[in-house]
Amino acid sequence: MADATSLPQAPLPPRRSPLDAVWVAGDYGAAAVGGPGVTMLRRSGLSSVQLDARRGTAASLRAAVAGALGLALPGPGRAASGGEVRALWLGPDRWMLLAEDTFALEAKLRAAAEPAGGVVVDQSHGRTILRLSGPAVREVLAKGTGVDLHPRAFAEDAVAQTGLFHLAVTLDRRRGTGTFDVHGMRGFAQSLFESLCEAAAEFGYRLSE
Amino acid sequence: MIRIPCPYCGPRDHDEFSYAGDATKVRPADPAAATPEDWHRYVYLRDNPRGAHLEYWHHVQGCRAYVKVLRDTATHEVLAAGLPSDDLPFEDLEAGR
Amino acid sequence: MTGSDQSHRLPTGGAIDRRRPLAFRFDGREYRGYAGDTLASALLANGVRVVGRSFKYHRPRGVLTAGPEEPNALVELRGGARIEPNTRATMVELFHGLEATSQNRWPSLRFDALEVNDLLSRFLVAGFYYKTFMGFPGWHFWEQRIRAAAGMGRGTTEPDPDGYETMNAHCDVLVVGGGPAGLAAALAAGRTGARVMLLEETDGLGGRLRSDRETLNGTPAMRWAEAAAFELVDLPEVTVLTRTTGFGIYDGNVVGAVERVADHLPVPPAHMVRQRLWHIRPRRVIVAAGAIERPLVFGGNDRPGVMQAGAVRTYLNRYAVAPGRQAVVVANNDDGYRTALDLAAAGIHVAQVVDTRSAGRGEWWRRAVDAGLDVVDRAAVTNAYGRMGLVGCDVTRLDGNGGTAGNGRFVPCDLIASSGGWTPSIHLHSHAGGKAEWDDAIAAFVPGPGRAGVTTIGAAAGRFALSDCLADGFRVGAEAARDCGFGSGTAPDAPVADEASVAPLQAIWSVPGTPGRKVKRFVDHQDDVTVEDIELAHREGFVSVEHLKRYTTLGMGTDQGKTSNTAGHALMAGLRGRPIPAVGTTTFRPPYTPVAMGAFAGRAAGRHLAPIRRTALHDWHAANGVVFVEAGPWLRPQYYLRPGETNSREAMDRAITEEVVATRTRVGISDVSSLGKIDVQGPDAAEFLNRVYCNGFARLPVGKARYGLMLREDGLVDDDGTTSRLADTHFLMTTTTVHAAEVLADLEWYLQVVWPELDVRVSSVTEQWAGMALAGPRARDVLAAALDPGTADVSNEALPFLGVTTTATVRGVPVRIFRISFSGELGYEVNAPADWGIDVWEALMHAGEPHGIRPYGLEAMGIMRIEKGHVAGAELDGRTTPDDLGLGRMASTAKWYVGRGMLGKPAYTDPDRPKLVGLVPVDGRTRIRAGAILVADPDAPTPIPKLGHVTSSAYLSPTVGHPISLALLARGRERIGEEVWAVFPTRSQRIRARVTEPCFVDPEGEKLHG
Repeated sequence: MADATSLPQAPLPPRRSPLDAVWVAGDYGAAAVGGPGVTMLRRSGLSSVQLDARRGTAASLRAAVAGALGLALPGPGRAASGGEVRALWLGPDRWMLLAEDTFALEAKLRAAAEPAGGVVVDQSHGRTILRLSGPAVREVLAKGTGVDLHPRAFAEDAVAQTGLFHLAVTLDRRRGTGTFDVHGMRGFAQSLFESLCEAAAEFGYRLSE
Repeated sequence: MIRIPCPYCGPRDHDEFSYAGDATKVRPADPAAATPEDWHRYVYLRDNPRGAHLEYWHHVQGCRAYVKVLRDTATHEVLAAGLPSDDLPFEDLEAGR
Repeated sequence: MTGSDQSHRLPTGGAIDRRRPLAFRFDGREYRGYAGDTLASALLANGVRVVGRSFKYHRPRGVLTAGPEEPNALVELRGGARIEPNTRATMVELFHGLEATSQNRWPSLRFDALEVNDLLSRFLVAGFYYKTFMGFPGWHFWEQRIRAAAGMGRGTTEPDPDGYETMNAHCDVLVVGGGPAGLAAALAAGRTGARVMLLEETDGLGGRLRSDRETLNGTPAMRWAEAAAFELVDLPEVTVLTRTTGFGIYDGNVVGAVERVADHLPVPPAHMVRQRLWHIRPRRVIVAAGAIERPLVFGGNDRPGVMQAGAVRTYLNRYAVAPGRQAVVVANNDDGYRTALDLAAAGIHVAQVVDTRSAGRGEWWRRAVDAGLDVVDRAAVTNAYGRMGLVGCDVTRLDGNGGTAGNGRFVPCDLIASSGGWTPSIHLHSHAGGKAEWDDAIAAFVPGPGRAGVTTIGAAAGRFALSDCLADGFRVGAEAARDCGFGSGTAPDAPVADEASVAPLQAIWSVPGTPGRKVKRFVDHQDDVTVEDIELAHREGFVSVEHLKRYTTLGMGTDQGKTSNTAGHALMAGLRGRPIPAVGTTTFRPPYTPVAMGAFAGRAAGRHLAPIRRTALHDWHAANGVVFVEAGPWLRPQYYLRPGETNSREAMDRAITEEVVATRTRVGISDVSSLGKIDVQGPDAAEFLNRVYCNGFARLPVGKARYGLMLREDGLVDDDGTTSRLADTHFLMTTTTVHAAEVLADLEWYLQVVWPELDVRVSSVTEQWAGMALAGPRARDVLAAALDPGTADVSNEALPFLGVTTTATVRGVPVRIFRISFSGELGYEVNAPADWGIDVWEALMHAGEPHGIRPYGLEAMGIMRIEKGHVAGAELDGRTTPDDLGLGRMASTAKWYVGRGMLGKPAYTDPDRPKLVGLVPVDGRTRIRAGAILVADPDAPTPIPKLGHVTSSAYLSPTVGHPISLALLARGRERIGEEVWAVFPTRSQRIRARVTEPCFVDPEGEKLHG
């Protein structure tokens, strides 16, 4: 579409988060010895671009993405990082690519992937991403999802599309102890946030800026 | 809780899925050639078997794939699962019944 | 009154903490116990014998058991909003300040007016109330009185102040039960590195080892259990949950468990839930749930002071409580001797040990005799005496043929320890569809063939000896781990139990009464079912145990017959002269013990009853006087109040009218973000849309939008919306708010299952875009002023009705503009990336200020669409065809599409089908409710033929100046100009209405195209 390939010239307003009204940095819940059980961070302002492979184009698309981004599109249930871009498997022939920019990733993908059979859909504003880290993260998430998060079943770079507190989310197990990115739908962001806070309260949690 | 082995995501709780109907029903391939009776059968007529049943489940809160599931309606045991294009051993079970 | 002195506390021993005395109250009186007590053990330590009244006869009852099977000692725990009725005192851990109240008595436990029922008991046999009162005028009056008399505890109507939550877990091996078998299984599995969970119902591990004095290799077996517990805690992949009941096995061997996180505390500390419901998904389940002792069924076996033999040992050994001072022990198995020896060891006088067997003289008998106990066999307790507490019993010889021999001898006692054998807890095996098989050796059902992946071991499998429990646990634990890929499956060596050999049990299902005495022999203590009730049921022709259960209420209390089912079924079998397995047993269903509703609800209560979905413009609305309304999960603006205005009916009516007038005469703006938006791309996208919409999309030009109508396979209307072609192979579909998810799922269905050959990808972009509908005669002026100069031409020529442009920016934000309208006004839908939604909305508001722009909510939108006769959810009700809605011409005859195959159905072409029409009250002012029924003559004899119903109503159309409605009316199009009656019987309304065209405003659509 024209709006993305020709980058807007005017300075853009800062991006708003659906949690602006409820996110107040600080420590909450039970006071925990040795720091909060969970630290939550908003990953705002990212590009989240969905990339689909059209019928029979998965191989050519992989090659095109590898060439343009230095990134191997991951298989089912996995994530991969390459350069500044992270790719999450979302479903058959579907990935979400993330980068800390505005429009640039989408433009890059349109240029590189569309000729190879890729379908590019910008979802940057439709998803709210929270990064959870700390010793209690697995337990907090387990209160809301039936996916097995044990390292044996859900190692680093594992990805799951699932329900979390009845809301559709993508869980991305990052490198580093107990670090997960939770991608939720923008409209349900506050419900998801409140559920996570309540589940984390017994361990103590920190909202960081 | 039925656990459904999604061919892409592995075993997941059934509440990630929505039931998508009887997989033994095949939509008339050529709608122009289908008779009203063909449509009637496809749209309305369903068996309610006790035992093995072939059905679709949509992994709606997961990878969004439609999964073909062979399920025992009496025990809720999932006997096999695959993609819509997969042949599951339903006929064998039917024959053995 | 100050506390009593724990008169029945033994001077030494027990697993209680004597340095931590705890004060508590029962029925208002203060007592003391120790940390480690249960409420039951603390009451017994204080010599409290009567703790409740029975369900039907209101007989005084004491503590019978020491476990979850307790049928008698049910109390109301705590008070106020936290009151918990029917709580088993045997399972309540004592805490400081605990308050409990006895239940089912009035005015007091000691003097209960309804004890008269006991005297009237010969009239109150099984089924008495049905026989006596049913069919009688006023049955419902009596029913209420009867139910009040047969009372359980009281609940509360206050909201629960405590929190609950759900926890999900996965493991390789799940072990239910932390007794010796379960501990051994968890150890054997845990040592292999497998992920193991162990659930234990009580506060600590050890099971019966906590209550008995057994030894392993010469040291107390409890030492082994403690060492096992320590080892398990150190294994990194083992999780031990105490105070956690595995209450059910469900499909896929998912196990439900409830963890009583804070029930042992006066109130849950901040941030701690009271209970946690676990959903555990194990690969292998090992059930080591133990066994439950059966009381012998003899006259007066419910007297306060009659107790299960195993419970007596628990109170002696674990709680250092003497349940009596002078004991009689009666049993049909060796547990009698074991209990008598423990009583004697605790310094309690054992007046008599009674063995009902003829062949019980084994090693345990020898030990008892050697200890100098007074032992009699081939005898039984035939009646027990003492209304408010046991004072003695008759011991009578048995004749070996079900009768007595000679006269009974009265033995004074205040405690009878009774054992009728043990019933394996096969509940979880049964939940998983496992069969029960009768085992004559223990006179009980044991697990038969069951579901793969579930194995029952130890006492729960009818193997009661400690050595068997340990061997089972080690073997099955190691095998389960191996099945999950851990270890070799070789069982670790089990420690050697120092066990006496056991003489076989000889079943005796009911003991004859003392000669010449009328006795009441209770099978089911909780439901007051006696031997006589079962005999009556048999005489009245009940043959199935399922019918027996429902007729007598055997096993239907909160304890679900844990102490009574086996004896009840055996008695029935005896009366019918059939073997017990031929009579059968009832099927166990979850939960094993009662689970609080709060635990099932978890956090899904209050504001989390259902998740809330907010649009990208939510924060703006909230800051600008909005009143929100729930639309499915969405919160959408209903209407907007003036600054500082309080909400009221008048304020609402005024706001809605102003919003409509502003939009019709100037310009309005509304949040349409919740409409479903689906991105459709691929070379076959146009062909795909042409198949799923009943109207044509193949030749829609790029840069144009079209209204589309989607049918279901059965030909009825599914959804509607506008779909735009953004590029040759790229479309944006919109759906109604409510059907958005369904439509996406349907599109995926057709692409994945029905037409996999089509090269199309669909994805939801609803959340990506904030949607704003700008409508009204000044809409174009406002839009043009808001756009960044030179980014798009929105003149009527450049962007005519149904035009689309994607080049525009507002404050630098790229937007998509669609010239479409739901209100019937000149209208544009502006989509902006959601994080900038408020920026674009504010730019439009700012540009609209000189034009008097108003934000409008769902109410105004609803009125305007009714004025235009546009259909919405109330008309798209899953029963209407395109023609019913006046959209028949949209259904193409030039192509095949979903639903066309059924459109020729005779029912769909019936000329009498209801069709969409408009409706106005003849008096020009009476409001017609949506849902009103349309009839020709409301005074016709019933049933009055129904002509249709009112689907949507605007109580006042500001544009036409009176109420208007849409309706589905039989032969509606032929009735235009006629009058019908709109009746609303539940409100006694009848309104004369005139049938009109469904479009009330600008039928030619001049405004749209202007």
